Amino acid sequence: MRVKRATELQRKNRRWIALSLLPVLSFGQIPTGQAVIDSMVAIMSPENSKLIVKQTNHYDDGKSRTFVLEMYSTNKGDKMMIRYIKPTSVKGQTFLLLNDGDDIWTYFPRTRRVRKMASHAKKMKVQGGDFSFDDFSSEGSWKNEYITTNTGSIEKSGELCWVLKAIAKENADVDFPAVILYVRKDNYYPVRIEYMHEKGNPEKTLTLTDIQDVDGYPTALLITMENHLTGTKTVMETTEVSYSWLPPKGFFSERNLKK
Amino acid sequence: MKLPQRHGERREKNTNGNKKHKRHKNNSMSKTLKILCVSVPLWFVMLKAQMDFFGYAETEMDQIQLEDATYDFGYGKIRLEGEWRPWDNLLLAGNVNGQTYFGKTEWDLLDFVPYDSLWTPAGMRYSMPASISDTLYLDNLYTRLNFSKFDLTIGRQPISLGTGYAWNPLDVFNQKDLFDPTYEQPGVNAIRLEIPLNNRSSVDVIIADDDSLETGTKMIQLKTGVGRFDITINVAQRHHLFPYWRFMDMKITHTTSDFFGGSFVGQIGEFGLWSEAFWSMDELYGYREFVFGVDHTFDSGVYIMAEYFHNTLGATENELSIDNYIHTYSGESKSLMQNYIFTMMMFAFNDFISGSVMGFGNLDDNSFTIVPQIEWSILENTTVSVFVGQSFGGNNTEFGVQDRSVRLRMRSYF
Repeated sequence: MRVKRATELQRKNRRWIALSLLPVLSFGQIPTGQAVIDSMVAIMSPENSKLIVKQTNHYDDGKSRTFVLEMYSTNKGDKMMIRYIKPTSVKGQTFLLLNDGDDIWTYFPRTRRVRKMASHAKKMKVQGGDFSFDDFSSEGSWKNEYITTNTGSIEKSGELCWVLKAIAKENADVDFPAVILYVRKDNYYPVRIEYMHEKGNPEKTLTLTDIQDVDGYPTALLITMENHLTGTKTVMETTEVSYSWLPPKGFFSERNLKK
Repeated sequence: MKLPQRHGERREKNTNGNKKHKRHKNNSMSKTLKILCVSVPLWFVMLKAQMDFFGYAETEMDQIQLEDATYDFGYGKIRLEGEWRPWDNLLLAGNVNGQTYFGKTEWDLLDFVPYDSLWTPAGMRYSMPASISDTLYLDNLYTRLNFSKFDLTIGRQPISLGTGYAWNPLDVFNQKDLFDPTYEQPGVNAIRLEIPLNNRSSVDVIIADDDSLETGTKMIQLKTGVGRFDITINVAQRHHLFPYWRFMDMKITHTTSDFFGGSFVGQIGEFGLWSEAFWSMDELYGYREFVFGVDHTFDSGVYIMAEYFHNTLGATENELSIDNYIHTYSGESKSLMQNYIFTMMMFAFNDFISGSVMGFGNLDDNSFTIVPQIEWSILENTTVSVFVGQSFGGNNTEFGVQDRSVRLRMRSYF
């Protein structure tokens, strides 16, 4: 694991994160669910990011497949580019997601063709794993699509966590009617998210482990999504990460997809 | 069902599921060998530097069943691609293809024509032979330079235009195979200049060299984004064979025409929409091509799409003649008749096996083909695909002339 650090940037980021946490730092009071969500979104949304991720899909029959991808984002995840490096069969396949994933372009290296896809393509699984493109979009849906309440604290994964219950608003465009989040009290970073289906049982569980400080942002280097209905599991292992990366001008453009 | 593609030929029209071949004058074997000889030192230099090699090996077996005959054929193919980036703003890329054929290799494409129902002068029977032999050739070899204000690509390069899935009226450089619309297209000898104006707008200038620059195809494309839509406006000039059957006594075979067209792709609500249109501005030989498509992905991941194609260069039901088949097979017309439909549904059985069902048809003669397909990722870099095409319609119709087709394909990436 190579972690690029930028001390000045780290200090700047920490100041900004501290400011964003002010709403929940009312001593002696239990913060509201919305305040915790706001803080969580703030510390999970660095201005820019560049990651190399190993995606391993584990299937219910014991088989697995591994992919390696580069992920770039800017403007707190509003613009993203995902490019596959391995295996050879998908090498070079690239996705550009703009406007919070509402606009998607795909680049097919064998035909050197770029095509705009309708946003319903976000529902597609990323290379057959348990993540969809929607999962990579920014965290705005927590604020806009759910009403969140703080139900108290509990120890989870060895950390004291707030337990948040998020219920989808009426007519919300979301896949899950309810979500349970376990958010660390000390830095407002989530360690576990349970996506509930309509009967109230968890359908998918996201676990965030190996949390390290990168450029001032807590970052889970190991993210696991388990699908309890299918018995499958997808592990995203971050092998390189930098939040000090600055996108060159025009990086998040159709032109750059072809480069 | 496609026939194997021979070196130096561009895969041409295919509305009845049969691949045809058009031999280009500048694509002889000797020319390929010369290119290879010239390029070998270049490739050696590239080998010495840090070059990225990849590609695939592919084997395909096909069977076509007609009313009175069954043909078996296939090929083995290896495609070695190389990319070299000595600097950030320079890409040298190319690929070498080797292909061997087995089964039937001598064809008369007009075997797939329902002669009995067509008018021909004095009842003549035509022939359109195609012989396929083992080949080794450079499909692409090009240089791409990225400057701050523009990108320049020179050489034999992949060019793919338009927003349509099964038909691309704007893509005057390629023809698609309805049986397999996403299969890679052969390279085009061209100079391409792409000038970005902003993040969603660009100007694209393409000059393709067929036999000479004078008779080459030229296109300018202005692309921009408006809301949830990408939009293009295209103008082109093309020196092309025009179907002389409309002017039988004039013996006109080629003409240079100006074209105007455009496309859009975007969405309304949860449905993706796209369209392309291309008009010949020639007063005498004008024609229009138009495609419109819609798609949707359900929450379950099931994907559906449908596309309609209209081509006034195709024949109407009453004027269909042997010339229409010849011009379609030679690639001069994108369809035999005027109105077509293409539909597809894709779904994943599990993470290793996916399926799709394609259906395409000629709305003028009411003939259709349904093609279920299974693709199995048998290994990390190996896929096995099975296609089965079943045609419906009278024996004298475009798709009904063929009863059934079966294809087995295995591809391994390296």
